[in-house]
Amino acid sequence: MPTTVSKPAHIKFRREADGGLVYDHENYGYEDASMYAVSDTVIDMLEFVDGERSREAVEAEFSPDVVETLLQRGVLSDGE
Amino acid sequence: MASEPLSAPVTITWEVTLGCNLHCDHCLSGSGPGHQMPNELTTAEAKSFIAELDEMDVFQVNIGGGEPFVRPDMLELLEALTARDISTCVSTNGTQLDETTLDRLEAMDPLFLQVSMDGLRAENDAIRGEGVYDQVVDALERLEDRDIGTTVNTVVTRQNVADLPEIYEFADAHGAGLRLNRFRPSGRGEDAWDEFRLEAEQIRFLHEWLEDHQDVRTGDSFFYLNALGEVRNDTLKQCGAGSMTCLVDPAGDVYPCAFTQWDHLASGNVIEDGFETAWSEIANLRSRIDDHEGCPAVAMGSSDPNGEDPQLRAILSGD
Repeated sequence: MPTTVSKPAHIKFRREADGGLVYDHENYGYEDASMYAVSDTVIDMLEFVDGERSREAVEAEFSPDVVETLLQRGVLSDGE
Repeated sequence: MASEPLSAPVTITWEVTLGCNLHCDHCLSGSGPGHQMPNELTTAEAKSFIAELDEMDVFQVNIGGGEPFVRPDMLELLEALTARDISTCVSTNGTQLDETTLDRLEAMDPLFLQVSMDGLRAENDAIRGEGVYDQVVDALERLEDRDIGTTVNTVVTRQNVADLPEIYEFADAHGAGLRLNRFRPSGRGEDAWDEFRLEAEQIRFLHEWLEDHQDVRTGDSFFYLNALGEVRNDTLKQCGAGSMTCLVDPAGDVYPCAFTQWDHLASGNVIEDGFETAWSEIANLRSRIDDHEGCPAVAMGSSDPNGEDPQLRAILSGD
């Protein structure tokens, strides 16, 4: 089982006044891009991951369920 | 989406020059040889703007023109964007892509290229100029071996709509996706509107063909409506002018989108005012354009600013 989680290069995020945005873009244009309005927690987590981080540490800081949800949505990916 | 205006656009379109080596009959920006604006951003100003885009966390920049690669500093600016991890999409006519240019582009990430092809040889060259089709085919063949995400873009016209199946096959055979844009009465397209716009039967064909080719991307907000005005899908194709995106012209003036470059919709200049200030001004415009049918910004700029977008019926149904 991978021991780290990472943020894929095609995922971008930023904080907004209310929560934040996650943008998933891998092609010319924006038509097949995805964008999600997300909670502060998701932005906190992406900042905490900061590229790549131990899955155990992220789960301890947030929760295993949140980590699993973001892995399933492709906002995070398995690292090493 | 958040109810508050976004702190920054998600994407912007940046027309970096009005200069172009071609003089296409339908050019939406009216570009051509020697058409550069006298006050286009200098390299230093462009880099200052890029730094502000990064500070504001703009996710994606779509570079257009004119032909971007007639700017001598274009590769330098693209390197400045991608070095900051800003997703960078470049729309080119495909005639300026020599091997040295491709070497430098291939080293950039994230970078995506769009090459224009407005029909097979006869239809393309009738619009874009003699011999351009062969140059584009050559560029796409050389891009096939490169690690550069490439898309073929076609502005759909009365003359080329029947070519779409072959263009689709051609793009696919070269490892490129196909993206379509509607022909609109903007720039020189205004003069060519009656010659190039689709007829009603062609509009129906186009939408049926698109239904059968879901992998074809459509870079125009009108495409999210089908020929009956019904929503086809729920991607990001809805109009985001002034709420999620905006246009920056070669001089750095900011507008809601490429089709609304009117003085009364300008909201500042990225150098004189700063982009953050200009973007804040856009939010005020947006609240005035939300109520229009069709393309709200075009409606607002029409002779009846409180009415429907005057292009809507013609574009959807051929009326």
